[in-house]
Amino acid sequence: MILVIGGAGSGKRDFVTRVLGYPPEAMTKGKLGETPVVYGLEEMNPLPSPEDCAQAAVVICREVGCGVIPMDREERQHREAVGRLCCELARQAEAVYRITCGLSMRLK
Amino acid sequence: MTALVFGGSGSGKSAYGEALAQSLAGSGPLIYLATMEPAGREADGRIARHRAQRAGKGFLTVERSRDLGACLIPEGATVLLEDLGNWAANELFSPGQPTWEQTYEHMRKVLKTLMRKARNLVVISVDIHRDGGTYPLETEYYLSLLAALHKDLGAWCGQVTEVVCGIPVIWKGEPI
Repeated sequence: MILVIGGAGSGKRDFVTRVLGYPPEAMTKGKLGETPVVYGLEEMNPLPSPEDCAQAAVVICREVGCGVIPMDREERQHREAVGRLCCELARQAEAVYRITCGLSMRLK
Repeated sequence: MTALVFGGSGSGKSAYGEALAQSLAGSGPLIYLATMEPAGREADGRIARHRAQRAGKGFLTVERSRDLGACLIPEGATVLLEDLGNWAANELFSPGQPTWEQTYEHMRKVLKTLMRKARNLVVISVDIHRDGGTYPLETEYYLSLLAALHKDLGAWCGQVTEVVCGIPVIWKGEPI
Protein backbone atom coordinates (compact mmCIF):
# COMPACT_ATOMS: atom_id res chain seq x y z
CA MET A 1 0.00 0.00 0.00
CA ILE A 2 1.11 3.52 -0.83
CA LEU A 3 0.02 6.42 1.37
CA VAL A 4 -0.45 9.86 -0.19
CA ILE A 5 -1.05 12.84 2.10
CA GLY A 6 -1.31 16.59 1.55
CA GLY A 7 -3.37 19.67 2.28
CA ALA A 8 -6.73 20.55 0.74
CA GLY A 9 -6.48 21.15 -3.00
CA SER A 10 -2.78 20.28 -3.12
CA GLY A 11 -3.07 17.89 -6.09
CA LYS A 12 -3.07 14.46 -4.40
CA ARG A 13 -5.40 12.66 -6.83
CA ASP A 14 -3.71 14.28 -9.80
CA PHE A 15 -0.38 12.94 -8.49
CA VAL A 16 -1.83 9.43 -8.12
CA THR A 17 -2.97 9.55 -11.75
CA ARG A 18 0.10 11.22 -13.19
CA VAL A 19 2.84 9.42 -11.26
CA LEU A 20 1.31 6.23 -9.86
CA GLY A 21 -0.76 5.58 -13.00
CA TYR A 22 -4.29 5.17 -11.60
CA PRO A 23 -6.99 6.93 -13.66
CA PRO A 24 -9.82 8.79 -11.87
CA GLU A 25 -12.18 5.84 -12.38
CA ALA A 26 -9.83 3.70 -10.25
CA MET A 27 -10.57 5.95 -7.25
CA THR A 28 -13.47 5.84 -4.81
CA LYS A 29 -14.25 8.43 -2.19
CA GLY A 30 -14.59 7.24 1.37
CA LYS A 31 -15.16 3.57 0.60
CA LEU A 32 -12.72 0.67 0.66
CA GLY A 33 -12.74 -2.40 -1.55
CA GLU A 34 -14.44 -0.86 -4.61
CA THR A 35 -11.36 0.32 -6.50
CA PRO A 36 -7.57 0.11 -6.01
CA VAL A 37 -7.45 3.73 -4.79
CA VAL A 38 -9.44 5.22 -1.94
CA TYR A 39 -9.48 8.95 -1.20
CA GLY A 40 -11.16 11.13 1.41
CA LEU A 41 -10.00 8.85 4.24
CA GLU A 42 -10.22 11.86 6.59
CA GLU A 43 -13.98 12.11 5.99
CA MET A 44 -14.79 8.48 6.79
CA ASN A 45 -16.73 8.06 10.01
CA PRO A 46 -16.11 5.64 11.58
CA LEU A 47 -12.56 5.40 10.29
CA PRO A 48 -11.58 2.02 8.84
CA SER A 49 -9.00 -0.20 10.50
CA PRO A 50 -5.38 -0.07 9.32
CA GLU A 51 -5.78 -3.70 8.20
CA ASP A 52 -8.68 -2.80 5.91
CA CYS A 53 -6.79 0.22 4.55
CA ALA A 54 -3.78 -1.98 3.82
CA GLN A 55 -5.89 -3.94 1.28
CA ALA A 56 -5.97 -0.86 -0.97
CA ALA A 57 -3.18 -0.16 -3.44
CA VAL A 58 -3.21 3.56 -2.65
CA VAL A 59 -4.74 5.44 0.28
CA ILE A 60 -5.15 9.20 -0.09
CA CYS A 61 -5.70 11.28 3.03
CA ARG A 62 -5.93 15.03 3.53
CA GLU A 63 -3.70 16.48 6.23
CA VAL A 64 -6.11 17.81 8.84
CA GLY A 65 -4.07 18.17 12.02
CA CYS A 66 -2.27 21.49 11.62
CA GLY A 67 -4.74 24.13 12.79
CA VAL A 68 -6.37 25.18 16.02
CA ILE A 69 -7.67 22.15 17.91
CA PRO A 70 -11.47 22.10 17.50
CA MET A 71 -13.68 22.94 20.49
CA ASP A 72 -16.12 20.21 19.54
CA ARG A 73 -15.12 16.93 21.20
CA GLU A 74 -16.19 14.68 18.36
CA GLU A 75 -14.34 16.74 15.77
CA ARG A 76 -11.29 16.88 18.00
CA GLN A 77 -11.22 13.13 18.52
CA HIS A 78 -11.85 12.41 14.86
CA ARG A 79 -9.00 14.64 13.76
CA GLU A 80 -6.61 13.01 16.18
CA ALA A 81 -7.77 9.55 15.08
CA VAL A 82 -7.06 10.49 11.44
CA GLY A 83 -3.53 11.49 12.45
CA ARG A 84 -2.92 8.26 14.37
CA LEU A 85 -4.35 6.15 11.56
CA CYS A 86 -2.00 7.85 9.11
CA CYS A 87 0.96 7.13 11.41
CA GLU A 88 0.04 3.44 11.40
CA LEU A 89 -0.56 3.42 7.63
CA ALA A 90 2.78 5.15 7.07
CA ARG A 91 4.46 2.46 9.19
CA GLN A 92 2.97 -0.30 7.02
CA ALA A 93 3.23 1.50 3.67
CA GLU A 94 5.87 0.66 1.11
CA ALA A 95 5.98 4.34 0.18
CA VAL A 96 4.63 7.60 1.62
CA TYR A 97 4.30 10.74 -0.47
CA ARG A 98 3.43 14.23 0.71
CA ILE A 99 1.95 16.62 -1.85
CA THR A 100 1.99 20.41 -1.90
CA CYS A 101 1.54 22.92 -4.75
CA GLY A 102 1.10 19.96 -7.10
CA LEU A 103 4.62 18.75 -6.20
CA SER A 104 5.52 15.56 -4.38
CA MET A 105 8.06 14.66 -1.75
CA ARG A 106 8.73 11.04 -0.92
CA LEU A 107 8.91 10.74 2.86
CA LYS A 108 9.37 6.99 2.89
CA MET B 1 13.47 32.51 -13.09
CA THR B 2 10.32 32.30 -11.00
CA ALA B 3 10.35 30.98 -7.44
CA LEU B 4 7.59 30.21 -4.95
CA VAL B 5 8.33 30.49 -1.24
CA PHE B 6 5.68 29.37 1.25
CA GLY B 7 5.39 28.64 4.95
CA GLY B 8 3.28 29.24 8.05
CA SER B 9 2.99 32.45 10.05
CA GLY B 10 6.34 33.57 11.39
CA SER B 11 8.18 30.77 9.57
CA GLY B 12 10.84 33.09 8.15
CA LYS B 13 9.50 32.94 4.60
CA SER B 14 9.88 36.72 4.06
CA ALA B 15 13.50 36.79 5.16
CA TYR B 16 14.26 33.79 2.95
CA GLY B 17 12.38 35.34 0.00
CA GLU B 18 14.28 38.61 0.38
CA ALA B 19 17.65 36.88 0.46
CA LEU B 20 16.67 34.79 -2.56
CA ALA B 21 15.53 37.90 -4.49
CA GLN B 22 18.75 39.70 -3.62
CA SER B 23 20.95 36.88 -4.78
CA LEU B 24 18.96 36.47 -8.00
CA ALA B 25 19.07 40.22 -8.70
CA GLY B 26 22.83 40.60 -8.45
CA SER B 27 23.38 44.26 -9.34
CA GLY B 28 20.05 44.57 -11.22
CA PRO B 29 16.98 46.49 -10.02
CA LEU B 30 15.11 45.01 -7.08
CA ILE B 31 11.38 45.67 -6.67
CA TYR B 32 9.34 44.82 -3.61
CA LEU B 33 5.72 44.46 -4.65
CA ALA B 34 3.69 44.83 -1.47
CA THR B 35 0.07 43.66 -1.59
CA MET B 36 -1.15 44.24 1.95
CA GLU B 37 -3.82 46.89 2.34
CA PRO B 38 -2.91 49.12 5.26
CA ALA B 39 -6.10 48.37 7.18
CA GLY B 40 -5.70 48.84 10.89
CA ARG B 41 -2.98 48.83 13.49
CA GLU B 42 -1.95 45.19 13.11
CA ALA B 43 -1.39 45.57 9.36
CA ASP B 44 0.53 48.80 10.02
CA GLY B 45 2.76 46.98 12.50
CA ARG B 46 3.40 44.14 10.07
CA ILE B 47 4.16 46.57 7.25
CA ALA B 48 6.56 48.50 9.53
CA ARG B 49 8.33 45.28 10.55
CA HIS B 50 8.78 44.20 6.95
CA ARG B 51 9.99 47.69 5.98
CA ALA B 52 12.64 47.61 8.71
CA GLN B 53 13.67 44.11 7.65
CA ARG B 54 14.15 45.32 4.06
CA ALA B 55 15.87 48.61 4.93
CA GLY B 56 19.25 49.02 3.29
CA LYS B 57 18.82 45.94 1.12
CA GLY B 58 18.23 47.92 -2.07
CA PHE B 59 14.52 47.25 -2.60
CA LEU B 60 12.32 49.79 -4.33
CA THR B 61 8.88 49.35 -2.73
CA VAL B 62 5.74 49.41 -4.85
CA GLU B 63 2.46 49.10 -2.96
CA ARG B 64 -0.46 47.62 -4.84
CA SER B 65 -3.30 45.61 -3.40
CA ARG B 66 -4.90 44.83 -6.80
CA ASP B 67 -4.17 45.15 -10.52
CA LEU B 68 -0.55 44.11 -10.10
CA GLY B 69 -0.24 43.69 -13.85
CA ALA B 70 -0.33 47.47 -14.30
CA CYS B 71 2.93 47.93 -12.36
CA LEU B 72 5.83 49.41 -14.25
CA ILE B 73 8.68 46.96 -14.03
CA PRO B 74 12.11 48.17 -15.10
CA GLU B 75 13.99 46.08 -17.60
CA GLY B 76 15.93 43.25 -15.99
CA ALA B 77 14.26 43.71 -12.61
CA THR B 78 13.87 41.10 -9.91
CA VAL B 79 10.44 41.32 -8.28
CA LEU B 80 9.59 40.04 -4.81
CA LEU B 81 5.80 39.71 -4.51
CA GLU B 82 4.57 39.60 -0.91
CA ASP B 83 2.24 37.93 -0.66
CA LEU B 84 -0.03 35.78 -2.81
CA GLY B 85 -2.49 34.98 0.01
CA ASN B 86 -3.11 38.64 0.66
CA TRP B 87 -3.41 39.55 -2.97
CA ALA B 88 -5.88 36.67 -3.59
CA ALA B 89 -8.09 37.96 -0.76
CA ASN B 90 -7.92 41.52 -2.12
CA GLU B 91 -8.98 40.31 -5.56
CA LEU B 92 -11.67 37.80 -4.55
CA PHE B 93 -13.30 40.11 -2.00
CA SER B 94 -12.93 43.29 -4.07
CA PRO B 95 -15.86 45.72 -4.37
CA GLY B 96 -16.64 44.55 -7.93
CA GLN B 97 -17.56 41.10 -6.51
CA PRO B 98 -15.88 39.02 -9.21
CA THR B 99 -16.66 35.31 -9.41
CA TRP B 100 -14.14 32.63 -8.41
CA GLU B 101 -13.45 31.86 -12.08
CA GLN B 102 -12.97 35.52 -13.01
CA THR B 103 -10.60 36.05 -10.10
CA TYR B 104 -8.61 32.91 -10.89
CA GLU B 105 -8.25 33.74 -14.59
CA HIS B 106 -7.32 37.33 -13.81
CA MET B 107 -4.65 36.35 -11.28
CA ARG B 108 -3.18 33.69 -13.56
CA LYS B 109 -2.93 36.26 -16.33
CA VAL B 110 -1.28 38.83 -14.07
CA LEU B 111 1.20 36.25 -12.75
CA LYS B 112 2.13 35.34 -16.31
CA THR B 113 2.54 39.03 -17.18
CA LEU B 114 4.81 39.53 -14.17
CA MET B 115 6.83 36.45 -15.10
CA ARG B 116 7.29 37.85 -18.59
CA LYS B 117 8.16 41.40 -17.53
CA ALA B 118 10.50 40.59 -14.68
CA ARG B 119 13.85 38.88 -15.08
CA ASN B 120 13.17 37.08 -11.81
CA LEU B 121 9.95 36.78 -9.84
CA VAL B 122 9.86 35.53 -6.26
CA VAL B 123 6.33 34.90 -4.95
CA ILE B 124 5.75 34.51 -1.24
CA SER B 125 2.65 32.67 -0.06
CA VAL B 126 1.03 31.25 3.05
CA ASP B 127 0.51 27.61 3.99
CA ILE B 128 -3.11 27.43 5.18
CA HIS B 129 -4.47 24.19 3.75
CA ARG B 130 -3.56 21.66 6.41
CA ASP B 131 -5.80 22.56 9.33
CA GLY B 132 -8.77 20.34 8.51
CA GLY B 133 -11.29 23.01 9.40
CA THR B 134 -14.52 23.62 7.54
CA TYR B 135 -15.33 27.24 6.86
CA PRO B 136 -18.11 29.46 5.53
CA LEU B 137 -18.52 29.12 1.77
CA GLU B 138 -16.68 32.34 0.88
CA THR B 139 -13.65 31.22 2.92
CA GLU B 140 -13.72 27.83 1.18
CA TYR B 141 -13.71 29.69 -2.16
CA TYR B 142 -10.69 31.64 -1.00
CA LEU B 143 -8.88 28.45 0.10
CA SER B 144 -9.54 26.70 -3.20
CA LEU B 145 -8.47 29.78 -5.19
CA LEU B 146 -5.16 29.88 -3.36
CA ALA B 147 -4.68 26.11 -3.73
CA ALA B 148 -5.29 26.35 -7.49
CA LEU B 149 -2.75 29.17 -7.82
CA HIS B 150 -0.23 27.20 -5.74
CA LYS B 151 -0.57 24.29 -8.18
CA ASP B 152 -0.03 26.60 -11.17
CA LEU B 153 3.03 28.14 -9.55
CA GLY B 154 4.31 24.70 -8.60
CA ALA B 155 4.28 23.85 -12.30
CA TRP B 156 5.64 27.19 -13.55
CA CYS B 157 8.37 27.85 -10.98
CA GLY B 158 12.00 26.82 -11.28
CA GLN B 159 12.27 26.69 -7.51
CA VAL B 160 9.61 25.92 -4.88
CA THR B 161 10.64 26.19 -1.24
CA GLU B 162 8.81 25.64 2.03
CA VAL B 163 10.32 27.55 4.94
CA VAL B 164 10.09 25.79 8.32
CA CYS B 165 11.50 27.57 11.41
CA GLY B 166 13.67 29.61 9.06
CA ILE B 167 14.99 26.44 7.37
CA PRO B 168 14.39 26.16 3.62
CA VAL B 169 12.96 22.81 2.48
CA ILE B 170 13.35 22.58 -1.28
CA TRP B 171 10.37 20.95 -3.07
CA LYS B 172 11.53 21.75 -6.58
CA GLY B 173 14.75 23.00 -8.19
CA GLU B 174 18.19 23.57 -6.71
CA PRO B 175 19.22 25.78 -3.78
CA ILE B 176 20.47 29.20 -4.95
